[in-house]
Amino acid sequence: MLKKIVCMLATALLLMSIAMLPVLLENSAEAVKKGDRGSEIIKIQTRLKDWDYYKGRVDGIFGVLTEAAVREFQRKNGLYPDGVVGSKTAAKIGVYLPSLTAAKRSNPGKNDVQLLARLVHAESRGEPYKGKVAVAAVVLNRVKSPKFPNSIAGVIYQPGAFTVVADGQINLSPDAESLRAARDALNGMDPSGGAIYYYNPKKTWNRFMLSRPVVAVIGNHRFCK
Amino acid sequence: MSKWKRWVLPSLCIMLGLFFIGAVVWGVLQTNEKESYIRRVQSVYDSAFGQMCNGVSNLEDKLSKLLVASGTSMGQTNLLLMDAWHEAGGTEHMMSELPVSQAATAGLTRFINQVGDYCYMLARKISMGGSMDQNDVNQLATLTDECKKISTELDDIRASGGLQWALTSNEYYALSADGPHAAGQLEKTVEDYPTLLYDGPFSDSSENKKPKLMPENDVSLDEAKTIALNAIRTPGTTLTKSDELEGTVPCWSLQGTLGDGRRVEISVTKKGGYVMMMTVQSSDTQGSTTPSDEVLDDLGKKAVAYLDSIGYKSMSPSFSQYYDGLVVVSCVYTENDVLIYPDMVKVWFDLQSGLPAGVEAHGYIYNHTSRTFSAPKVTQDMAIGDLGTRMQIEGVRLAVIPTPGLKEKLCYEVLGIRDEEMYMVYIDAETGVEEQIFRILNTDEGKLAM
Repeated sequence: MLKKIVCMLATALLLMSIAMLPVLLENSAEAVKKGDRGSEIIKIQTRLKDWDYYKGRVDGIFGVLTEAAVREFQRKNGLYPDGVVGSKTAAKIGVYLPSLTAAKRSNPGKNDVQLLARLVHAESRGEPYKGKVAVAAVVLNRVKSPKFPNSIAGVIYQPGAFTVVADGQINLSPDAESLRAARDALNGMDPSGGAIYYYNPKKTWNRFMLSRPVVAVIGNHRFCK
Repeated sequence: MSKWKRWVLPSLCIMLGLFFIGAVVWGVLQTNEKESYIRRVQSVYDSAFGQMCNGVSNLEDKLSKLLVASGTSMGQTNLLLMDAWHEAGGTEHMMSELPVSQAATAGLTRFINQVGDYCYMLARKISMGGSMDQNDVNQLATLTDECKKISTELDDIRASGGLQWALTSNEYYALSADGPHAAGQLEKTVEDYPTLLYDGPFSDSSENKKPKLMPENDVSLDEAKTIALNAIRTPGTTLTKSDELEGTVPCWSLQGTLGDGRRVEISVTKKGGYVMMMTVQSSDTQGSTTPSDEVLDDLGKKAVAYLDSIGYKSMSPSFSQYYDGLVVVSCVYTENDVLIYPDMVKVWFDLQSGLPAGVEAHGYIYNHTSRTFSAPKVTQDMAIGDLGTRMQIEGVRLAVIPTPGLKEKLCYEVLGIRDEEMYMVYIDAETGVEEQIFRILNTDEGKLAM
């Protein structure tokens, strides 16, 4: 598990910046069936004709002949012969149906967003919005720093790192602003200037903290490296 | 009176006595329970400490074997490097569980993380056709010695009965080298460990990265305000200076309110007057509607035009995410149809008003520079090779991607589909080596590359 995290860090810049192309997905029905028309049908008919399943004309209209050909293909390939081109049949035929790849899954990073937002909420209620983003950014800067644990949960729950973990405030549910602050920070915003520590000068007597070089002051917090 | 003496007083005494006995019993039970919790917590810490000690000793074992391995991908080298990386990761993980002050353990944590990172980067280099050089061998020898030293000291701590763990947060903060919870070897400073020279995300060069975009012209506070107002786009906006951010990219920080009362915060670089960061309070935080592909397409075009008007030229829209009534469009600098991924600027749009609601230009400011890339030695067909047998290829184009150690590489970006999942494979345009693979997840908050 940790290996993966280090691996991700090994390509941290990539993961942060690259993501993907504007993949153009056409809007269409979930599966292709009798009565449908379009370029996808042409591809299906062409393939099926090449393999001698389809005897009709390649016209892009899913008619009776196409349906029969699909059934025949499904039977020969161990699929349920329903005459509908769903994801499995499309894969076997070798055509790509955009609508079928569009199945949406839940964002796998959602729990990290929630945890980060809870920390922001507990640590910086009453701070300006920028101060909230900065607190979230400090956590992410720590994940990237070799001096700290290499995951969001590791950094937040590191013993002694945040008092709100010790006193249970971390379990309060975050407000909308904290959630956005967490997400904005995950999207690269860093008003802290790359800080890995912060403190409230009115509440800290820790000599170590007070000796760090301050890079930004936002609201009641001093951010330092 | 006699009734009082005979009945009430004795029964009061009995009640008090019962209370007293009850309190004692309760107290004893509570103390026992507390002690059992303390023992349990301490055994978790002891276990983490024990595993950490084993980790360091295993790490030393792998590193010393590496010194006699061939140094090529043909033999044991890569396996040992991956083992060392794995041991370093586990050791770091166990260390982060220990209740000792982060300030005290930062040196050791950084050392272990860098050793793991270095081994991973070496394995990566070798698996892509490179080999270990004399410098690598020397560094591995130094690391082996250091690990041996750490391992011996840790063993001594364990032999002398282990460490006494701080159990409350006040105790962590009170930690000092000569305090009751002194942790010996755990408490050396960064300077006490050997310096590692290599390229990786945890290397010193990555820790101290500097912006490549270095414009000369100074921007005054008034000019910064004009730039900010142009970027905010909403009439009736008032802005005041909130603070000045020094550090690697000095900025004017401004804050204020829009005509409709929403707050805005914006930073403009003191050199060149680039909008480094902007955030506008969203008008609809409940917005959970998923924007249609047409809307996203349209916002992509709007983002490019908007960036052009605030000084980020020749950008093209890449992917977009959506949450809380906002859409974030990531735009990538494009030169001669080559996507330059490191030079990225993100633009937030308020879905309700369609107005820009945020900018994040860290990537662009840190990476943008004039680049010269020699023409690809590998042709597109050579790059694709037999990839078509493993996925259905949907498109190929050239792109510059960031590689570890703040470097860049010109690659062919091959987009393909396998089992209904989308992948992006990057092939080095110089060597034809597979540089990176991304899987694109189509999530309920937009597309994500993993």
